[in-house]
Amino acid sequence: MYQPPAGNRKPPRSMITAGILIAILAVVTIVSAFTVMQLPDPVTDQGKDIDLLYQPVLAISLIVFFGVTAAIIYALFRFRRTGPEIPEQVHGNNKLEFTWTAIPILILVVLFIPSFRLVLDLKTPPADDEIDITVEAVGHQWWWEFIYPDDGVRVQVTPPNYDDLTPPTMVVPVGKTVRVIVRSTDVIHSFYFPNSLYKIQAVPGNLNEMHFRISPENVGTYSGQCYQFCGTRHADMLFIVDAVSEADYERWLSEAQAAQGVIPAAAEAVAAGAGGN
Amino acid sequence: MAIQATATHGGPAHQADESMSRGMAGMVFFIASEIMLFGGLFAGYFYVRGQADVWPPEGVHKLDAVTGGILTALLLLSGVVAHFGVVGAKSGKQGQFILGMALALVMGTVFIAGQAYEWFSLMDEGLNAGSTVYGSTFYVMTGFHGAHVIAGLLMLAVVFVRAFWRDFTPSRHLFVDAGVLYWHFVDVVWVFLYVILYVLV
Amino acid sequence: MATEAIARPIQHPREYTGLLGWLLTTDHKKIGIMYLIFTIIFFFVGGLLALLVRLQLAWSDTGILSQDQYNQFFTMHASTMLFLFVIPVGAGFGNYLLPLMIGAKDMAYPRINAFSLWLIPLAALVMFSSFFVEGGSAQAGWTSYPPLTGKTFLPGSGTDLWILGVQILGISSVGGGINFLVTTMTMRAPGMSLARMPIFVWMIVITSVLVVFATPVLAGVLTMLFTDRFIGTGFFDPRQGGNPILWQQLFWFYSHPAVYIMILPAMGIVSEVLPVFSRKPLFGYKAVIYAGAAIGVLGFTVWMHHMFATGLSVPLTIWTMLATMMIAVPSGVKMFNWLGTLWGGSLIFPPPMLFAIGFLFMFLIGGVDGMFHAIVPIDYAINDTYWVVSHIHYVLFGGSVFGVFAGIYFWFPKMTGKFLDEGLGRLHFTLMFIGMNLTFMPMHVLGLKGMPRRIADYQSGQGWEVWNLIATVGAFIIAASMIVFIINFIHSLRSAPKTAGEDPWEGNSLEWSTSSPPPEHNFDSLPELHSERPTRDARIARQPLVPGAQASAEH
Ligand code: HEA
Ligand code: HEA
Ligand code: CUA
Ligand SMILES: [Cu+2]
Repeated sequence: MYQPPAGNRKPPRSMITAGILIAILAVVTIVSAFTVMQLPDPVTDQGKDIDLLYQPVLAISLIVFFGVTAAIIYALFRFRRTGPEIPEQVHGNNKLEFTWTAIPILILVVLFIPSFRLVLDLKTPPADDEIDITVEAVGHQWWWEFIYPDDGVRVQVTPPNYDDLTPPTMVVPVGKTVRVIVRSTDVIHSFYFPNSLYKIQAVPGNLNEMHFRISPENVGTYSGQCYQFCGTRHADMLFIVDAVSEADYERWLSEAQAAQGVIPAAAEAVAAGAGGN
Repeated sequence: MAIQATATHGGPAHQADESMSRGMAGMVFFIASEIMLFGGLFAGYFYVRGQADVWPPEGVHKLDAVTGGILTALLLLSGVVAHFGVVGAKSGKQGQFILGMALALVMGTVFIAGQAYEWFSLMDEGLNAGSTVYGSTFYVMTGFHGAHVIAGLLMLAVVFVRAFWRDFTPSRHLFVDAGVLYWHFVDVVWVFLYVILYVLV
Repeated sequence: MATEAIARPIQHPREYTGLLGWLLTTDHKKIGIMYLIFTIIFFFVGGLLALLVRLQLAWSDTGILSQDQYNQFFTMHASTMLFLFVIPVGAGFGNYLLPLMIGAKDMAYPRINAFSLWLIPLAALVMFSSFFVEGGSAQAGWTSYPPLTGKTFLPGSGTDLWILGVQILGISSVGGGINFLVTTMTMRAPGMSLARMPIFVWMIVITSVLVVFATPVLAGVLTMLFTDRFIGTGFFDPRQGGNPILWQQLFWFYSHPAVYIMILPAMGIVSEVLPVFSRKPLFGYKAVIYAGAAIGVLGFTVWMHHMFATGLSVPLTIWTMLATMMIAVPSGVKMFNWLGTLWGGSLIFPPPMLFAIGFLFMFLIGGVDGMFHAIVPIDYAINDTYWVVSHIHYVLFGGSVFGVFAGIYFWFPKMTGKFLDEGLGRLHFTLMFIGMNLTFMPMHVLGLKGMPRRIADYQSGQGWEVWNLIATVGAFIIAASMIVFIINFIHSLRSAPKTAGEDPWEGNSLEWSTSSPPPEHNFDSLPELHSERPTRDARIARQPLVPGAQASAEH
């Protein structure tokens, strides 16, 4: 027969301990919410919408976390055994059951509606004439290739030197709507740069696409990599997104075309012939 | 062993009843899980079929619904005779019991032989498991089913042999019930397979 | 009940003794104990692999493992933990306890039961042998997505052995599941109505339903992968008209229910432990059962939440998001009922209670993490990052493993007649709790910062190192806690006195009404039962339920 150690019979002072613990919990929760529990700064319009949704989700989640944890801590200290008395044998309470079924449902409805809207927003492709640039991001084991089909330019056409990795760069102009067609030639990869907050997989045999518009004030380089495990060198599938001004983009494009021997007019003609996409 | 199982059971007769339903319950759950197995295969079939432009792919030989139909009828009939056998077992008609099992066994074997024949002639015509996913679904699904038919035949064979040994009585024939239930399941799955693979293309 | 139970071995004429007695046994208690021993050993093996993983990631560019080794180790870590540890460990507890709890003498099919048990070491042999074949073990993650797992990209036989091993374990699970269901349906003691069964039994029943209905789909899809590899079928090959997404659909159709297979037994254990040490009945007994059933049913509808980033269509995305969010409701009901059980109770904190409370804290975090994934736009950001890894371990390690240890400390006295040492138990808990949070809390931050999962190495200068280092330190604290446990286990087994008696904790359910360890057929006879807490009723009435349970071994 089990005999609890005598030390268990705690004086009521233990409620102070409980209070301190709960206070620490509150501070840690609040501080972390504003610091480490934040997503990277979004640079795309779409990413900004996601971040906007993230904030209330984080807040509500932390409230749920804090509330339930604090309640458990309180109970642990408040209801310690102090004597042999048997506590009242409560078997349940239907009103409470109803309440704690209903409240989460309410919370979830509140979270569902904006999420639903944002999903529609993110997944509905813009009309063709709203798209300024199309880039194909092609996953290979284990490197990314970027193709600008309308301009006949390709970035990174052979596997990189893994001993001295310089990740390929996808150059895009800020303030323009970019469509990225994500596809793969071998296994599944996933295209993501954290500052976009939106990723999509490159699945062989399937064409996926994502769209973004980097805000004009967010000129800069952003690192990205492959997120879906794709074999030995999955960790090495890095790339860089270089968001530049429109003028810089045009300059880069013509340099790249010159370097790759593409005749711009011909590329445009091809693009026009293909239906403008 | 000194201990009586009085905790869960009444007298011995009661006990026999209990274990009877216990055996059947196990078989029912087993069949339920087998249904999910085929359910997964069917889901896979409809998935790849749903994304195909033409089904079956251009240039692939269509399955012969008539031969398949004859085999289907045979398998269904074997279910009927197996049931006839069970009725015999339950009413103590040993002859009817053995006859039913024997006929079911023969028909099931013919079915499997027919299937094997069909496999080989299709392969001759160039329909391979590897050529297109159409072939893959056909061979894997019928192959899975064929393996189940063979398992069912083994059960029926055991029933048949034990019937000769007079192992079963009108009140004790759990294994007969379970085996034949499984056989019915195998038949029913085939009907679905036949319909989607042979008819609805 | 205050008298000491003397467990005398039953003299059974045909029963083998010694090692053979264990190897050939069909007794559910011995089988249950062997399940537990095997699976806990696999837990240590999986844990050692995890330590290697953590060492490699402790800092950028550590160079401890090659990329191939890393990929094998994290894959085998997860495969071992999931298929060889958490899933069968639930069956282990179920085996030992379910017949005792419903007053049966054994499982419905003892021989199938033994068969299910022995398939587990067999599968382990198959899976671990793959470390020694050319090309190494499976190395595509426990999810084994094709086309990567196709012959073209992973020609080695490691993948084949993995498929075979998982297939064998599936058969073992289904055998066990059917056994539990039939046992519960047909072998309950008189008066043990469904509404009086312990919650643990209910959770095993729901788990078994999931096992019986979900596992075969895994068997089917594994076969497809196998034929793709061997006879060139094209289920997952787009060039032949197949689609890699098909694997994901069918795999997750199994594997999402499987995560509830992994957590429900632990929830059952917690629901048994909390009332005993609170001296109160479980709050909302029926609500907890309904919630468990709701989790089981909803669990079959949400599998596509693992596929949000594959380009899932909008209607499927929306539906899956809705269904996934709904799972928070029954999970919350459980959480709140456990809280209600503590509330107003008279709490003491021996090790089983500590682990059960650890479960509450940790599962809450893991569950809320899951909600971030359920909200699709946020999942687009955190999918395939360390946030997932954090979620996995808060629910599986913080949930299932804490539940498992609660169960071990709780029922060890029943299985052996001895207590595990309380001081060491507290030390074990404290180290494990601290280590767990040090290891997996920083992974939230890493996930948000965008560290991908399943990478063997990362570039410096992204602010990932510190968090990874903390995680690695935490992992070794967990390892230290496990060593404390091993010492405790061996020490107590060897030299603790048999002081437990039949009812060491003031238990509620039927297993506490027989001797510790119980006699071979559990109970001689049982009176008609009248409540869901028969042992407690008898104790209050000062009238042992089974007159002289100890004496039962004598005639
Ligand atoms: C024991 C195992 C277990 C359990 C119980 C869960 C529980 C849940 N899981 Fe988890 N999950 C895994 C194991 C588990 N998971 C694993 C292993 C993976 C990774 C697989 C891989 O890719 O390798 C995964 C991945 C995973 C994903 C995919 C992530 C991705 O790859 O992008 C998602 C997405 O929705 C998800 C969601 C959920 C949800 C919503 C729950 C819910 O059941 C949680 C519900 C519980 C609560 C919410 C807490 C209590 C509730 C309250 C206190 C009420 C109030 C709360 C609110 C209103 C929020 N899980
Ligand atoms: C039940 C499930 C479970 C459990 C318990 C654990 C436990 C642990 N896991 Fe694991 N993990 C998974 C399931 C689990 N994991 C899954 C499903 C994945 C996803 C894999 C994938 O992507 O495919 C994963 C992935 C995963 C990763 C990510 C890998 C990656 O994406 O690259 C990491 C990284 O840190 C990790 C770490 C750990 C650690 C440190 C523990 C620790 O808690 C381990 C603690 C245990 C020990 C430390 C044992 C110590 C024992 C001894 C010291 C005794 C030895 C003595 C003798 C043998 C006598 N796990
Ligand atoms: Cu490509 Cu990972
Ligand atoms: Cu899931």
